[in-house]
Amino acid sequence: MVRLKNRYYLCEIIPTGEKKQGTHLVGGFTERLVFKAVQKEVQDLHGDYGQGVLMGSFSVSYLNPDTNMVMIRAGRDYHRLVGSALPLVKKIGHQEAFLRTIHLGGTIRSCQKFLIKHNKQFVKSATEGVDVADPEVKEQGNG
Amino acid sequence: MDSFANHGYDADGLEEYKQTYYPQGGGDDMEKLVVQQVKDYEEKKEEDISQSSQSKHQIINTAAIRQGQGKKRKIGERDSDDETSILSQAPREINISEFTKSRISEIELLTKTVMSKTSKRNPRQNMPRHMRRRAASHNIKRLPRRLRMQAMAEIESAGKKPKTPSRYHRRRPKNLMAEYNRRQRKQNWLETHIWHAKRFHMIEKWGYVIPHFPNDKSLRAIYRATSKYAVLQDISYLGCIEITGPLKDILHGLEKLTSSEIGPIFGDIRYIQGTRQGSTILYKGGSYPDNAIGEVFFHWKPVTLITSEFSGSTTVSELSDCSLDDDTRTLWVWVHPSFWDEAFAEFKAALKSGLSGKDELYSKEMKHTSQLQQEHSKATSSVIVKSLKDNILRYRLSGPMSTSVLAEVLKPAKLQKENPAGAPDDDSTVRGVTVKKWWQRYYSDPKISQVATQQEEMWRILCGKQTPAQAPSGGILSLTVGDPRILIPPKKSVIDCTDVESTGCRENTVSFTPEVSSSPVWSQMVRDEVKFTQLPQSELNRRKGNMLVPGSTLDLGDDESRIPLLLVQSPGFQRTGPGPAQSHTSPGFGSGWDLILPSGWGMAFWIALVYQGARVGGLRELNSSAVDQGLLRIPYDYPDTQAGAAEERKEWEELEAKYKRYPPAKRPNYIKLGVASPFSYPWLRLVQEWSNIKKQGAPFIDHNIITQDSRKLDRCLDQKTHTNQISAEILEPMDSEEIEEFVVLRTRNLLKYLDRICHAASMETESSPSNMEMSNSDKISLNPQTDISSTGGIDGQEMLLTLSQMHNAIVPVTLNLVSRGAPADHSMICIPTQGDLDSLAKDSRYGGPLEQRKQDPNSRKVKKQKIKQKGTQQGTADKVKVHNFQDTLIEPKDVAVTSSRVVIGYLKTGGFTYTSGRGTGRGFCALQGILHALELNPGKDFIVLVRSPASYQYRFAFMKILC
Repeated sequence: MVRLKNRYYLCEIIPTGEKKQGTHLVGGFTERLVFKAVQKEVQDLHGDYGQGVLMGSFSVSYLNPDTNMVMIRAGRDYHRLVGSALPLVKKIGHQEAFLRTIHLGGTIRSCQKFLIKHNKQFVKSATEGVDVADPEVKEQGNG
Repeated sequence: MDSFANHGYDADGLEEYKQTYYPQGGGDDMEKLVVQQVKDYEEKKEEDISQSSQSKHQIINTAAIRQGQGKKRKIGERDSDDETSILSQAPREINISEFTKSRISEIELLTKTVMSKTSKRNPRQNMPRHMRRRAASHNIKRLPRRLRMQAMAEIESAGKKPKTPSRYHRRRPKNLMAEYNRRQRKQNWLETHIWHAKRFHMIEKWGYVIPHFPNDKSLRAIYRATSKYAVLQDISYLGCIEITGPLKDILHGLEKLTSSEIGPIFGDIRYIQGTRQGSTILYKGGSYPDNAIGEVFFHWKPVTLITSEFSGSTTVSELSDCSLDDDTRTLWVWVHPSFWDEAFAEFKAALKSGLSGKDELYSKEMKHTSQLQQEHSKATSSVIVKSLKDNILRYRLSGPMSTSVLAEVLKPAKLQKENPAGAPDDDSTVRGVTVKKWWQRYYSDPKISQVATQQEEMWRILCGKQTPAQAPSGGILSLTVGDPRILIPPKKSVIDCTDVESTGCRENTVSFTPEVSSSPVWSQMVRDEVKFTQLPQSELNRRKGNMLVPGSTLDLGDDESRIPLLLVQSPGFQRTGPGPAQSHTSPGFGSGWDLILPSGWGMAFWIALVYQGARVGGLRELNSSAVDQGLLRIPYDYPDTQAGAAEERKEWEELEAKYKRYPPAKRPNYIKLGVASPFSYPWLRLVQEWSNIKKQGAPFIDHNIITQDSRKLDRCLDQKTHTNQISAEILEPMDSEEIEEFVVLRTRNLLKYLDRICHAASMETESSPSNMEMSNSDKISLNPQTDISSTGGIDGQEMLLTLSQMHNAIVPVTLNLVSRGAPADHSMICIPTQGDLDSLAKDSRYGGPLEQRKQDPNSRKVKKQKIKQKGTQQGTADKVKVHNFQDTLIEPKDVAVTSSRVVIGYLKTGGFTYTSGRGTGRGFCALQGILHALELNPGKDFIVLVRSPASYQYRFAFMKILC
């Protein structure tokens, strides 16, 4: 059995731009926008060669607009090209933001598993420091 | 966790986390910020009042943030100096609860996707390859625990059966017996079940598994055996009911259940002695002639001086069944299983009400009617109804050689004490342990042993007769015979007919005395002892093996069982009246013996009889031979009983289901054939219509008969039929007394009278179809005379009046086809027109008229639809409709006048019979229809037309009333 192997970057989008009127969080990112932004950086860093070798595999496979988590796929052989471009992303669409890589996984499943763990960690820490916690939230967080 | 550590975010506190990622602006803004946050949240609170608790939470959270910010202020200030521009652009606020919530929902979502099965593969296949175990498919515990639940569900949904144990295991005696017992839980097995199951098609019927027909040969073989040799059938499914009590009480109770109009009943003089078996028809208590239950056979326990003496003696006080008063009698009633429960309940009810003042005691006994354990005090003279179901076996042997076959098997046993040399003489119970055997006790009385000699002598005489028909009709002979297994020939043999010595042939008339019929088999004690003291087959084989001369007859001496049994003669075909119908069957056809045995001995006798060459038949053979013998088949030929109606209903459902399985082009169109009920027997509807026709005076047929051109007639009749239907419909609501129940006419003298007027002419000149034309003229001239003389004048007139008033009666009839054809089951019996009879008179080889093809209103629709389909190429929806058009044959409305010849009845069974060599049938006709037909063609051989449901061809048939 031969299969095409990939690497998945699990990143958190951290918006840095100005807050828009009426919203609490800066957001509105789409998979397409993220892809474009990363692709642009790859182009800048590695040129047509980089574009070319990544063409078949490069894509954004998951984006959660609520938590701003994004999963970027790249072929295993050249995933470093993407990895090197990620920290240089400063703008996604018209929004200023940077990507914080939190995990590099071999399968979507492993990334998902990591994300669950990561989120649980966060929820735990978020609820621990507070005396009065919404039981609902706590329950869910623990579960 | 790791990532947090790596990136330097220890999970210390939320504050730090936030501070790092969402760095706040300068200290000046701090107060503003907090105020704004609080404001914001309060706005939001107003928006979602329902989430009040949550907003509280949010406020608290913001307070926490505020504190944290207070702590970190210094750092913030330090940073702000360098990066004011960046920080000013950073998001100013964070909704921590929403932030958390969105993460929680993400967790949920991801957990779902991670946990859910991604592929349709078995959980076992999802295991990492190195952990896969082939053995896990057998033993689920080989799987890791987290996958077991999944795998269990998988196995359950696949519905895998547990592996059946090996044949070797299943065939071990213990397991085999367990399996047999399991299979007998729902349906009873006959004792010969295993033997039959290997050779017969078995059917589940009436709570028993009954052999239906043999796998080796067909009906013709059975016919040959019946006419030339012997046919054996196991009819042990007939359940016996024992009625014990004072004769008066019994007869008084049973009076309500039958009527002497239908023939001799329980108390009849010829049966009361106990030397003959009788049959009668049961009715629900006091409701004769409605609510018939079915035909039963019965015989009384004979009363002899000797029997009573024996029972009175002290030695056999344990044989409580025998020790009764002189007045106390016992009756055995043999009831077919299809209505056994009904009959048993009826007997109990009738005999209970027959007793006044003893009800209390009786009911106490009824409570523990646990069949055989029932006890009763000798002092009372109450009537006891006891079930002997599956306690007594009954085999039927029919055919001329059946006596010879029985003679080979039933060798009267030595009943005198055997005193082997060396043993003390007058003491067979020397050792205190050994108990006298039943026959030693029973036959110790010299008078009884004398009776036994009488019985042996009688049996010897009967064995000399050529056929069993020469024995007294229904006579009962008692015998006590030795173990039949000893005499089984090493190979299956056939007795040569010529070998039969005709010693007793001289004495043509033999009569049975009560002594000859008295038997110990009536005693429960004896039956039980005989059953339980049977020598096991293995022991028998061992002793056979130990014999000095192999193949010689084994002498078991006193160890040999003595089996008491009854032989009941069945007379076979009896010519009951005049007329050409069934004249081809020889009298005594199918005569034979019924063997009544105690249970437990079934297989021993069965094998012995089979080894003497008796051919074995099943239910199908039993029914066909009953038709040949002119007997009514129980319960099929009792359509007014519940059991009979149930059979008809079942047959209807089966036939209709089969019909519907065929595509329309491959099955007969009964609308075109003009058949109202191809599968069912609409007796009630038939009777109702005939009653209506009679009330109208039935003018329509008479008029038509005068116009004799058959083509015209058909058309005319068609029109007339329509008009008649309309008028009938108009009449119906006016009919205040619509018939709701039909009955089968069973009144003996009325049936005989009817039969006589059917064959008024042929009584005088025994006409056969060949000389019919010649005799026709005679008949007409003789008719008035015979009518008066044979029917007895005024008495006959009265009977005719009674008959014409019985609007709800149907009559059993037999048909014998005049020349060609063999009618199928469900054939219609119709009245011929004058034209038909004339053509037959002209040409005796005339086959019969043809029915006109009817228009099927549906077929035109079907055609139209087909054309439409071709034009528009429509889908399957229309096709289904086309198919459904012909499925509307349920519940016929008009049954009498559906075709050009008026229907008076239906054949229950029909076909070619070997006995007469031509087509015959058995069915029922509406009484009014018969009378009408007689009015139309009086004084001739009663000829009717018969038409199979799938044919246009009518055939001529002689009709005879079955009585």
